[in-house]
Amino acid sequence: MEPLADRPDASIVAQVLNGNTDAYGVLVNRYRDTYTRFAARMLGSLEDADDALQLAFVRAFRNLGQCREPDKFGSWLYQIVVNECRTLGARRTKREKRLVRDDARVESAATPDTSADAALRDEIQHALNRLDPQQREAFLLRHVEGLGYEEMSDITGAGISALKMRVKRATERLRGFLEGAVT
Amino acid sequence: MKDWENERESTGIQNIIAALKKPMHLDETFELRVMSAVHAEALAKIDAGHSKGGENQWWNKRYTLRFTALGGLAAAASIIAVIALTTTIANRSSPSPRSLVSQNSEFSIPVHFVLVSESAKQVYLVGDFNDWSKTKTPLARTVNQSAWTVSVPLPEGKHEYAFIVDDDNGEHWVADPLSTKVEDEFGTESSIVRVGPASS
Repeated sequence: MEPLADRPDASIVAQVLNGNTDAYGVLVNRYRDTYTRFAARMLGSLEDADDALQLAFVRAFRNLGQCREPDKFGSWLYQIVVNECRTLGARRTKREKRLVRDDARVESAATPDTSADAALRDEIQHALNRLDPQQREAFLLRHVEGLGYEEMSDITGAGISALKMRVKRATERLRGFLEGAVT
Repeated sequence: MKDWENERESTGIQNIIAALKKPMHLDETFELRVMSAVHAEALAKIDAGHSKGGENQWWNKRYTLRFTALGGLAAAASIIAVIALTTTIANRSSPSPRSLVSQNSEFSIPVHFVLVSESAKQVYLVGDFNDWSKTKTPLARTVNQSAWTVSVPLPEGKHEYAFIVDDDNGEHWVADPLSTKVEDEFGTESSIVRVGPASS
C-alpha cells in the first residue's frame, strides 16, 4: 500500500475527513516550507510567519469539509495563508509594530550566510515593508513565488489588471527605495 | 506603453528577487505545535458531538489555539530527555501570555498539556476544570507516537490537574513532575497550573 506521505492531496484530505486526524500532519509537512517564505516576507519576520501559518493550518483543518477541490488543497490553503497574513499584518500595523529583524535566528537554513548578504536582505525587507500591503503581496506572489496572474487572481480575489498594476508599482517603488543599495 | 513585466529584467530588480527567494524555514517544533492544536480541534468536535444540550459548556466553544516556538521547544526538549531516560514523565509547556490570548474568548486561555509516554495506550487529563472527569478530556497521541497532547481553554487562576495513564500496568495517576505539586488528605499528588499574566 502506498505510504500516506506519497499520496496525492485529495487522498489525504479524504483520510482526514474520515477521522484520521494524524494524516493532516502530512499536509502540514508538505506545505509548511512552501508558504513560510511568502508569509515571512509579507509580514517582515519569521516569528510573525509562524503565527500566520499556525492559524492558517488550524483554520484549514477546521474548514476542510469546505475544500471543494481536494486535489487543489495547496491553492485553497494558499488563499487561507494570504488571508491570515492580511489579517495579522493589518492588526500589527495598527499596533505600530516595529520590524523585527530576526533573520539570524530564523534563517537557520543549511546554506551558510555572510553578514553582507544578511544586511542586504534586511534592507530589502525594510523596503518591502514600506510598500502598500497589496503591492507587496502581488510582488511576492508574482516574482518571488513565481505564480501566474490567473492563479494570483484566484488566491487574492483581485482582477488580473489590478494585479499587474500592483506588481508594476511595487517594482518601481522598490527600485526607488533601493537605489544605490542594489545594483 | 512600456511592458512592466520587463521591469524584472533590470539587474537591480533581479538581484532583489534573488535575495528574496532565499528559502526560509520555521523551527522543527512547528509541526508538533500545529498538530497539537489540530488534535485539540478534533477532540473539541468529538466532545461537542457527544454532549447533549451543552452549548454553554466550555468544550463547545470555539477557540483559536496558538503555541509559541518556545513552548514547543520545551515540549520537544522534554520528549528527548524522557526518551533517553526510558521513563514516563509529564510536561506542561507554559506558553507566553502573548501566544495564549484566545481569539474568541476574553475569559479563557488555551493551555497546552503534554505527556511523554510511548507505552501508554490511553491518557486522560483530569482536573478541577473538568470535575476530575476521566472521560471528558482524553489526550491525543502525537504523530511521532512518543507523546500525548491536549489543549484546554482555562479561565484565569490556579488549577489543579493530573494525568490518568492507561498502560501495561493498568490505569494509574500521574502528577506533573515539572510543576508545583499539592497533596490531598490521602497523600495523592496533583499538579498546579496558574493561568494568566502572573503565570509566565
